[in-house]
Amino acid sequence: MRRAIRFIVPLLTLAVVLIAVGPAARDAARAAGERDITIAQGIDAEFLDVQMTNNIVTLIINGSIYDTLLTRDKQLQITPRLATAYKLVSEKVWEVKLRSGVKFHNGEPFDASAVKFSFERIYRPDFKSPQKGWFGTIDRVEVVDPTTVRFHTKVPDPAMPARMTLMYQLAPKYVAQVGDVQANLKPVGTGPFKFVEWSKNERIVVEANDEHWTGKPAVRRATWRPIPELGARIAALQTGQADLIVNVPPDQLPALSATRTVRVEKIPSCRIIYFGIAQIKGGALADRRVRQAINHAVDVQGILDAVLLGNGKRINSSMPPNVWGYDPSIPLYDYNPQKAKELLAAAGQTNLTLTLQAPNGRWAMDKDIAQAVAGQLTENGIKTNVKIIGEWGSYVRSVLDHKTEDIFMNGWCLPSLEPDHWVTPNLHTGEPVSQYSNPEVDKLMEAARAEMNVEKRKQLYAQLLRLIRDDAPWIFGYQQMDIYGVNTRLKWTPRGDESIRLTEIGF
Amino acid sequence: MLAYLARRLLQSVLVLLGVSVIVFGLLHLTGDPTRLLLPLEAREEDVRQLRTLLGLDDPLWLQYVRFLSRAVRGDFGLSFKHQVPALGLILSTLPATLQLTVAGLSLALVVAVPVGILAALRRNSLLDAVCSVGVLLGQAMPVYWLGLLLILVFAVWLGWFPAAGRDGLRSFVLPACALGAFSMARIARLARSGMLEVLAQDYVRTARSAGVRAFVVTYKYALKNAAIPLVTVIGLEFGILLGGAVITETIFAWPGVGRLAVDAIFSRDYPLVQAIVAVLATLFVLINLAVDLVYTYLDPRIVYVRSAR
Repeated sequence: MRRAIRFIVPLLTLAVVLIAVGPAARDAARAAGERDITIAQGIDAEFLDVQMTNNIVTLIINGSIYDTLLTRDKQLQITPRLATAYKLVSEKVWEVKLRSGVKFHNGEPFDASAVKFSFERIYRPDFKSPQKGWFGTIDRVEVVDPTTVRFHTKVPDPAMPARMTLMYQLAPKYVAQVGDVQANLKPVGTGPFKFVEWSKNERIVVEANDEHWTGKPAVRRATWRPIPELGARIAALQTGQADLIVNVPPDQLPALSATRTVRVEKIPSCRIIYFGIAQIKGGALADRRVRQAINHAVDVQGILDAVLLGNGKRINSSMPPNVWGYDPSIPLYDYNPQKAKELLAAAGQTNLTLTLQAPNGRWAMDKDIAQAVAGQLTENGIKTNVKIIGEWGSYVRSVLDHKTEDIFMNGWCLPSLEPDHWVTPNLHTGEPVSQYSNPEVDKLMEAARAEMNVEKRKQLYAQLLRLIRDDAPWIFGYQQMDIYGVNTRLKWTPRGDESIRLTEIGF
Repeated sequence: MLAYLARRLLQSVLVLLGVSVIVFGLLHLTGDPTRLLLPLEAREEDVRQLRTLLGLDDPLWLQYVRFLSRAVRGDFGLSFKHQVPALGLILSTLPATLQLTVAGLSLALVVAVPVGILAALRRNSLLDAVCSVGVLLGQAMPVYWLGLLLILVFAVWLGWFPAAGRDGLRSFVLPACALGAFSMARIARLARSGMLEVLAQDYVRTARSAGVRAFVVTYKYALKNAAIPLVTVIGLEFGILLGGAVITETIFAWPGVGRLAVDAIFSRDYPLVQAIVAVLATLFVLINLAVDLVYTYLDPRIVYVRSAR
């Protein structure tokens, strides 16, 4: 027994010491500074060279360091940023007036040459920017004077203002001087926050740029932390280690609400979740009546209520309500098993067996929702098997190679919020993601994306979305609900474009 | 001894070469990374262009030769995803993993060895039974579950330790416990059975009957002999923990090599995966070598000589 004591005593001592110093951990996070905040997301930024990424989380972080020419306000309307005004000079020329007196964090002035440099850098042949596709309609940038630039487009492009919300501005002299690698590791922009530190997979720290033309930010210092595991992310919020966390799944809401210092914020997102029906495979799926029957055979609202606890909003066609061009008058498919049976009978497909593919862990409860959809289809006479492809790389390949199963789950949101980017990539004939082909739909899309008259363009989208709804290339799913956990000391409400702007946070 | 060392080093090089071939082959079997690097809506011509930029158009053997000739000079190329030297990325995350591994293993040793010895000395006692249950639990509990449990109890309820991240000494405690639990159980079991075996040996009985004090018999004679299998396992355990810290690192948001590796594999970041495997394999081989050398100290009967031909 004496020997046992020899080990137990030091262990107990250690435990006592830990208990004594323990609770300080909780306060340590707070003591860092009243107006300092920590935001926890699932992943780290891929790049702080903002032109090297198209990843939304990475863009959110970069958005505090860099400014764009135009931006979206809280209602997602396009508003001035580094550009103060823009106008159409001729059908293919946009003239943009720039804000004067703006300086990059290193003191370099921002002017028209920076706009030209930033645009041309993306298209440098040896520069591996994934943003090349964003500005493909632009032919060249012309510097008119230090505060005026002109964008010459290859075709009439009504999406130019939306594209300008993605034109992040870099400091030409700085990038030339330090090179691409350093520009990524020590980013310099004109944004409301200055870069302080980046420790890979650990933290990115930025501090307020009090010289920013929008004024001094309320937040003094912000730390972005990647915490991949959901449980740890929630624990970090509950313990005060993080002030704002993203991607809270609906089933965790009760647990979060139980913590006194935490509140929940929700907003319907620009991201839509749909089940594509691979019409190009031919067979039964080429028949519009079969695709309509599939839509009538799934109780989307029921699934939203049961699986996502009501956190999601049905979509009537291929666009969410917060994207310009959406038409609220288009009717939803009603859940009607009888009608589904009649349509199947009319198409001569009363003994249909399908396979539905879904990823696991990509979108909130994706696998469960896919299983519920397949269950209802089976129940209503369309025997549907589920194939879960857990590895995202393989999943993407099946879609891009046009080798999906009969039905494939997909989620979609592009930071441009440009209406064409919800239809063309997903439904135009031959597009990488599209498993659908309809010349009539193609023609309308092409007309809408080139129409310079705003009213006419809106009408074209209404017509297009209605046509898509009736032709049923998808099981029209839902608009995702973005759910955040927030420390009650923060004054903040979320945005519908998945972005988090530090300047919108108060105390 | 020197000849032995030289031979072992040569063997190690061959092992590493073999590892590099396997990793290179397997990676390229998993498919084309360009599509994952580009946005879903990217056009076919963008994909082709990027593939050429990354050198993926060349024949496989040429890619391998290029990889190898650079790797021996310590250049593993630019990570596809991060566009910075792969080796630099690893070296910047390796300390975090090494620290965690050392902490986890030390914790395992500090607890497991005494517990194992005690259990052996008090065989079939209550203490032994408690230890056996502990060992069973330690080996049966999946690390992600244990990790979340630790976070819930010690971070959320008690508020003693941070839930995630690496900020000072306190942040080591939970991940080290989670990481060390499995090893702890394994080492305790091994220490117990090793001690039991040694304690039953004739020389222990002789020592006891000669009136040597029980403490000396246990710790000077018995323990040293029981330690040989332990050293082997600890060496292996260290290697396993280095590579196996993936889950722990993910749960506790620990900025280590494990998370980097998982990320690299999912995004098919060939240069980064190759570099990580090369670095970890080298470490593993070196640890094994070190373990073999420690044997000579523990057991003077083991002498490494040029094998007689």
